[in-house]
Amino acid sequence: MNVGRDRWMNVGRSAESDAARAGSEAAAVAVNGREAALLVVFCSHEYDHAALLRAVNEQSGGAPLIGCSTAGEIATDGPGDASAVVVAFGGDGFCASTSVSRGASSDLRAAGADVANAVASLNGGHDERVLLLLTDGLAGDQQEVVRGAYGVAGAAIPLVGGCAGDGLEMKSTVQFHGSEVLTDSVVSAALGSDGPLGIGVRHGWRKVGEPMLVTKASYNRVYSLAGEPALDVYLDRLGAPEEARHDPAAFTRFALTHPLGLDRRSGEEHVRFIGEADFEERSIISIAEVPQGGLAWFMEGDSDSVLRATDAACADAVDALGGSAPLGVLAFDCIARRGVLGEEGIKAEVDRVSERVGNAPVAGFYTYGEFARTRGISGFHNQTLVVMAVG
Amino acid sequence: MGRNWSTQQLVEFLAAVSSFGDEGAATRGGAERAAEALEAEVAAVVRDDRVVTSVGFPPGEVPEQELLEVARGTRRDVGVPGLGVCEAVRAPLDESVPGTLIVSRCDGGFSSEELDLLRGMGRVLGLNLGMIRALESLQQRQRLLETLAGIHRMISRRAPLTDVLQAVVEGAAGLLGDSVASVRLVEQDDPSTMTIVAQTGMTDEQLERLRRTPVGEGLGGRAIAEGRVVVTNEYGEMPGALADRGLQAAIAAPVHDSGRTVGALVVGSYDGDRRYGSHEHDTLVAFAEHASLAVSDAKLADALVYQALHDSLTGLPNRSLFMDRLGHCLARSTRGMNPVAVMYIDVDGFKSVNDSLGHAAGDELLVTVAGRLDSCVRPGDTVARLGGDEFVVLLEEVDSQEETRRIAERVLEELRKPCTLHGQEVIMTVSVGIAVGREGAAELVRNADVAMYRAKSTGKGRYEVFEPGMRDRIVERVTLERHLRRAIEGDELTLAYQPIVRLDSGEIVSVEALARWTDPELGVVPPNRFIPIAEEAGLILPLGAWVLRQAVRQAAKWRGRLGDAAPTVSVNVSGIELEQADVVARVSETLHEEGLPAASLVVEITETVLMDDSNHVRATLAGLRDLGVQIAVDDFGTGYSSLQFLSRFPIDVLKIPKPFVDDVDAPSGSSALARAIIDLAENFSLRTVAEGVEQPGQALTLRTLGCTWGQGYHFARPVDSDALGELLYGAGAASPQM
Repeated sequence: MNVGRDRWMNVGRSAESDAARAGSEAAAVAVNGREAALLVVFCSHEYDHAALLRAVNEQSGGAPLIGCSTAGEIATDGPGDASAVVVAFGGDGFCASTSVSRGASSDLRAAGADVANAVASLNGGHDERVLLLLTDGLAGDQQEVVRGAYGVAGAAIPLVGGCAGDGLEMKSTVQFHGSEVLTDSVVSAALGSDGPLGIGVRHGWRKVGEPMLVTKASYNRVYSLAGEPALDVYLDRLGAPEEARHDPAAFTRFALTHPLGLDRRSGEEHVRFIGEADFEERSIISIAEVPQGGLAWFMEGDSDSVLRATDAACADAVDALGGSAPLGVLAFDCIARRGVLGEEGIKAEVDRVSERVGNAPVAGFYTYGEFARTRGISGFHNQTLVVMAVG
Repeated sequence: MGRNWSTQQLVEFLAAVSSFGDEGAATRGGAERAAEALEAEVAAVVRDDRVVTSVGFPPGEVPEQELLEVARGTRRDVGVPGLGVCEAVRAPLDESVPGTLIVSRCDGGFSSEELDLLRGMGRVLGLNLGMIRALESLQQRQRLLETLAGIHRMISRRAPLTDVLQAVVEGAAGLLGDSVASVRLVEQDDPSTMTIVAQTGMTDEQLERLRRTPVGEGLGGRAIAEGRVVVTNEYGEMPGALADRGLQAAIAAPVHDSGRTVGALVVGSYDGDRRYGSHEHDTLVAFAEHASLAVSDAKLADALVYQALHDSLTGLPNRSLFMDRLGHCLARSTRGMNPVAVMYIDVDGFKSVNDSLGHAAGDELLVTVAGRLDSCVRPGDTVARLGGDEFVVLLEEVDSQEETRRIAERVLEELRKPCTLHGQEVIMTVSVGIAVGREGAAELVRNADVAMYRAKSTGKGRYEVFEPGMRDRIVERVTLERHLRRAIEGDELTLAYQPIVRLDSGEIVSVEALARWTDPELGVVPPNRFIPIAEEAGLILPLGAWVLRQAVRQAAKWRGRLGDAAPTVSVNVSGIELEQADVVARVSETLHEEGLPAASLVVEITETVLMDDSNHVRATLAGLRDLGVQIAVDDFGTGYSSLQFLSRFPIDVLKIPKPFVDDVDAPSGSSALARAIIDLAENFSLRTVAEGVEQPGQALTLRTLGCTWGQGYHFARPVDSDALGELLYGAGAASPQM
């Protein structure tokens, strides 16, 4: 390990409403007049993204860049909704290579495989490597992206990242690569570092009531649970409020804090976000696959359990650095957790992250799905907080 | 985890691999899903001594040689780039498609269930590859192979078992071009008999005659008995039932569930030239394997439903099933039948069994309780476990209160019989509450719970029938608890001090601090009412801390005026407080903050604390002693503690209980107990305090017997700190008439 080589990580944020000014301000702070190895941009879906990227690239001199739109941005000074956050990695101790796959929904697996080739382009002799993935979560089953990326990157490379957001409109998200603004794409950055990289993954939900068989489901649509219409079981067992029983928006608000848990080997359940209900056919719709014939639970969370998970994820990430102090952290935090915590809660959460990592710079966003693969082969999560500490 | 988990995973695996259209994709997909199911980092498939697919190795870094050696069985690990050497396990594909499925995980440690699952996945992957190959070479069979894919889907979607098996017989008959096919399953209740559960091509008359036949008879019966594929090309010569209809040849393959043969898939032909060869053999085995998976999975689904409604420890119905049955029963009862009784049963002192003998013994106890309860009730009644040590019984249609009471008596009696837990004989009791009525299910259970609570608070090991007034008493108790909580937090308690005097001089040498509570609404609440509530409600720790703080503070004040002539102060400390890890530190801190020397504090403990004989208590008492605090044992001699305790525990003072003191002056002989304690104390060089001294004669006798100190109305009643101050400052000592 070349411990002597220089490494730095900076985060800049701007809440300017003008896209060019926001990009320029945030990038200026992040780059600080130096040469960056990699820029990652998280910003509101409402900006003029081409203008924002132009301004960022001007500040950075066109350093490799990836990024995406969000359902809320996270920076050292707290969460925000109409801002641009730029994080820059620099110094000889870091190297990076970016990649993009367009039109990803036609073959998500191939897209994942495609962007994982970025790892092979790293040539700075850095011991620690990670593949950052930012994708269009509205483009289909994201575990396929993980399968594709894993097939190329292999067991040695951790995967982290998140699905882009659009402020909960659930219509269209954008991804950035260099100066390009894309939709339906997967962008990646392979990051090599002389220092350790630690990853923590936690959710903070707990099971409610008895397990049920998923008696009828097709991909992400659940028709029946324990032989009864899924929507009725969901509303009744969780004691949903009256308005969630007929108003789609109220249902989504309620469902945000009541995901579905699926049984896994280790007893650790996979959490699946319920996004909408079909009041006609009495089905519920998740944003990821729910296998028919599987065992499922309803889950719930409160700010306490969610914040405990925040602490634990940070502790896991920092512990994995083996004693070295973090230069900074990236956080990919599920929008549903934001729903549980509320606006005051997410401020407390970001403060807590910052505190747990020794007040190092923090950058991240509220996602529509999170990536984290460190063990095993599965790596797509819902309703989870993924923290990567850069040591 | 467990077999349920692995069957579940196998069904998901089956659904996944059967969705792939070509051999390459199915092989890769199979390896990938196997790795996902076992949470492994890498997987590979080896066929014809070649690694045909691998997952988790970066391109160009596949350790081919190592994987081939694992496939051959000459190696048990592979080097995974970035992870190091990882344990690798393998399973053969199906016989028809020779090859090996390999999975490797960085934390290794594959369990036998996981290896079973891997074998299952290898077999399923092989079967699929075989079918895809057949599909590629025999396009005319495509329609039927699609039927097989349809069977896959039915299993993975948990279609009813008979539907799946019907699809299996129709598929097998169609694929082989034969006219008769059936699945026979061994009956669960009678393993010597098999039943046709699905068939095609049989007439009603044949079906009627052959529906149930002995295992071992006919070709299917032989496949079951011998557990292998059996073929006959001269069916006419077999002693079999369809021979008379002209069946010429038949083939049967066994159906398995967890390694046991549980049935057979039989296909037969009326064609005299029909010969069954290896192709037919393989095809039939493939169908039989799917029948096996369907049978196993149907059991799993049943088991899952069963689990959702039953308690896994005792196998009894759980709360949801109980409430469901109670609801149905009440609905019937309102239609003019007898009322329903609910019995609520709670094991007395269950926590102490768990604490002293361990959770495994606690679980064993619960299983015993479940079994005994079941033996007490009538057929048709429901015993359920609500959770923890709480059980309920639903008695349908009770004719009279008498009948309910009889059953309750039987429950108490049955459960009182000794049982052996971890080699130790334990006698347990239960408290039972009964509610009879036709009101709502939840209310009946709640009322029975209230009655149980009443039985518990009036002595345990008994039963009570619910009366509306009981709820008021519970409300009263809850009120008391709420007020007590407020009193502790709001400093509403006070301390009274009762002098302890030297019997020879009458000098006040110590005072015992006693908590007193006058609630603004409830009035004076005596300690024997509020201390037990504090203990049950978890308030004893804050209460104890408060008493200690006040008493130490007061003693320090007296000491400030009287110096070494000031009395020591005695504080009662409960067993729960002594169990706290920080009790020594807390006492030391309090003494330090209030400025009282440790030697001026006496901690009074009860004899029962010593009887638990725990190392922790011994260490705690030693820690207090090291500070300089003195230890007194209250009510010594009432708890049958052994003499050993006196040498094993650091003790300074024994307190002689009032009943012994009452007898001390009575006609000869009765003073023996007090005398014994005093002698004992002398032998161990301990001081003695006689409690409850009320008569001058008692004081005199005790002094003659050698008792050092006394306490009681004869000397002084408990008084508040001001009154005690007057006693101390005024005379320097009380002057009782002796």
